[in-house]
Amino acid sequence: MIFHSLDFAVFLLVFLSIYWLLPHRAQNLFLLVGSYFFYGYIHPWFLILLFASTVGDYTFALGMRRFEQKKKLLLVCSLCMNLGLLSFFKYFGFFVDNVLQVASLFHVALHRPTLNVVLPVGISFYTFQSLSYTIDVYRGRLEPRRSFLDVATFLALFPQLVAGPIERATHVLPQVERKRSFDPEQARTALLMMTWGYFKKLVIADNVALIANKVFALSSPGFALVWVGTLAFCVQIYADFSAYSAIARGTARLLGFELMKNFDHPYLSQTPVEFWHRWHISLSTWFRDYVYIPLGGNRGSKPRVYFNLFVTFVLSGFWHGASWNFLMWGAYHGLLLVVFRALEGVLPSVFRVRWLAPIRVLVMFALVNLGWLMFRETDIHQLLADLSLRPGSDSSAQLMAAGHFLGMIAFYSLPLAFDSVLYLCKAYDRARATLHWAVLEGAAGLLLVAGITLFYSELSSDFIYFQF
Amino acid sequence: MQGSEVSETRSGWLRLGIFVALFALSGAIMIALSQSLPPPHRSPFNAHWLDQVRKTKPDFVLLGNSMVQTRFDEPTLRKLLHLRPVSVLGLIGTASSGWYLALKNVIVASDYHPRVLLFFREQELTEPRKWTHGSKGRHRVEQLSLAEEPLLARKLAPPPSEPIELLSWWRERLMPFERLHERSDLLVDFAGKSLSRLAYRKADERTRMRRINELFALGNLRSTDAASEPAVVPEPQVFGSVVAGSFLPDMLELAAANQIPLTFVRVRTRPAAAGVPKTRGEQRYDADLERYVRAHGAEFYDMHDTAWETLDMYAEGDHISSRLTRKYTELFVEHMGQIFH
Repeated sequence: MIFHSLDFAVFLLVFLSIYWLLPHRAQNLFLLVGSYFFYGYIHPWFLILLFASTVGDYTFALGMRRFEQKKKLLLVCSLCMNLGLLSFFKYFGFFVDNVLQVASLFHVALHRPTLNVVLPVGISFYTFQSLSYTIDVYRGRLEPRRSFLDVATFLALFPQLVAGPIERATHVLPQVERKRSFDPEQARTALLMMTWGYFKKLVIADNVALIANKVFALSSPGFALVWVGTLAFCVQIYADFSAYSAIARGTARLLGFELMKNFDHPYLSQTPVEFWHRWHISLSTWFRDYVYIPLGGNRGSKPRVYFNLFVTFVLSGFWHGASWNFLMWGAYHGLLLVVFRALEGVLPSVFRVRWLAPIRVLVMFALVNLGWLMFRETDIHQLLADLSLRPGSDSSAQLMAAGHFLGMIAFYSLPLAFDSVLYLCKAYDRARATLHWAVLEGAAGLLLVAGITLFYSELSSDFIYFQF
Repeated sequence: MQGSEVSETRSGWLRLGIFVALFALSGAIMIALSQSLPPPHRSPFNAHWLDQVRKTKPDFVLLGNSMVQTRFDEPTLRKLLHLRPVSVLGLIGTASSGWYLALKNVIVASDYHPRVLLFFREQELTEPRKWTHGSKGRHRVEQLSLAEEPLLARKLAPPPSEPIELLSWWRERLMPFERLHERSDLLVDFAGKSLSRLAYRKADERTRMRRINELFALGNLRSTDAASEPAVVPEPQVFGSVVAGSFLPDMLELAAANQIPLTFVRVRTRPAAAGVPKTRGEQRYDADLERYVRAHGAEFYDMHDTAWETLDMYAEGDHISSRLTRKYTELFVEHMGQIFH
């Protein structure tokens, strides 16, 4: 089920009306049933994988407690199961295609197997969430839970099941176990969060997506057009993904859960490190805790730290999709971080002088856009062709289109720019402290609803991160 | 519960109430505003296609949407058919409602009785509402409609039986936000046109818009999945439950009444070319469709397993690359020549 469908609106309304009438244990059971209904709404067979993953990790975690000496083996089993599922469903086609290509280089003719593996929506998200449970139990940071219902509810929690935030068991499991009661204050903030999410998706992301899709559908775009298309994608992916996170967090809050913040004005970042503290926070902290730190993290020699950073980001890129461009995107961000770390040691003032902050933001924004081009261009040959374009390579029609699209992007991005200005001026913090905050929130909600009805895109598409 | 907590809870409920009321108020204002606006201007019937058929006097008409337009090159086809007259009606952005109207208002109205080859995808023949929504969809249907189209109105008027579709249907009637869109789009257009003017001053506005549209013609697009392709594709509905509400019985009846031989061709889509097999639901639907069409005197071809139509021939989505339109036409006649008997 997708958030911006009538199906979801009806489902949520009915679900909430029953959910808040139930006692705590029944609430959890109802939440589990509702989550499975939400996930299996279109393809019920996807539920088999989710259930298998849940049963497996529930058993492995309990086993770790019972058979202390076989803890490591059980962790390996959990890793094999989750990463095996992920590898098969996500990377099988990529692996086969590359083996075939290598074989053809040696003039060995192999036939592609006719097995067509469908990628179950959200598998990358829930396998990572499930892994966090077993790893935390292994590390002794979390007690394994005896209640299968609680573990299954945590892993299937529908607001964040399909595209995150990738939650930790240490954060959400206690919330599953705790008694929840309806809080009108929380409900109000949840509704506003969801409305802002819907606005970002339906008005901003879906409208600029049309521009990005048009530009990246052209067989030979010029320099200006490619970069305007990249800018459109830059706005689209932020609006789209942060919208999903906002709707997910709002929905969870309506159910009495508090999920982690996934985005925090990433395009205001001044350095690559800051960018990853503000962009897809749940994934970057997951990789930090479960990949970067186990690799050695900041410990060891400089080259070793740089290596750890680079490997972590390459893996993070590969998590996004089974394609060379995602690997390249991850490697690019890894490289940015390595270069930044190196420069920070040599030229610390460049990164600290206050008046240079706007320039640092602009440079970082340009670097992030270069990354988005790698992310959007799934065909590596086309990506290289785009990168080799020089200014002046546009035809007059392409220049006209670039100008036209730039104007549209600027128009649709205005609310995001306004939000950033308010954030920078700390207007939200100041307003929150006043008695008029609720009135301001009400006015914002009113404007957002009006904005959605006026400017929503007639051609709405799936959330981008569904494909991961 | 202490007194302060009770009063806090009460004020919380009050704030939530005010917030929801403001939401409702905003929605109500926008609904009232959209309903107060006049319905959008109706596009007149476009006689271009009728003139084309009358001029060509075709033996065959290839009817469909961009699937036809990107697959067939009219001069090549005519040559391969030993100069027999043929008309390619690739009506971009149309679906079954548009094809029914084209059959009635273009082909039947032309007074010729050509064999009509109707190219469609997936379950398009039983999706009467497909691409009839929004300003663009409405415009395309209106361009093929006469002043009065009772059957079209009847088919599109009844509320759908699916509960979610029904809700959507009511939403569109009660909240005609499309009317607001026509105005708000002017603002977006203004922003776009202003910067376009800055980027290139030498051309006037009409020329600029025409050239931008030409730039994104299907022939200039690369080979990719369609951007609008959903991540999750639902199973088709049961054929028997949807056929009566579709335009398919009317197309068959119209063709039979006017002695127009009708052939339905289900085109090979990109997923099929990539080797994705039909689901059980699709197999069942297609078998029922074929049986129904044949029982009503029309011919049916399913190109799902056509080996000669390979993945590298595709441009965006299910469109065939413009470089290969001629080649596709040649291959089609070579392998599917029996259609042109």
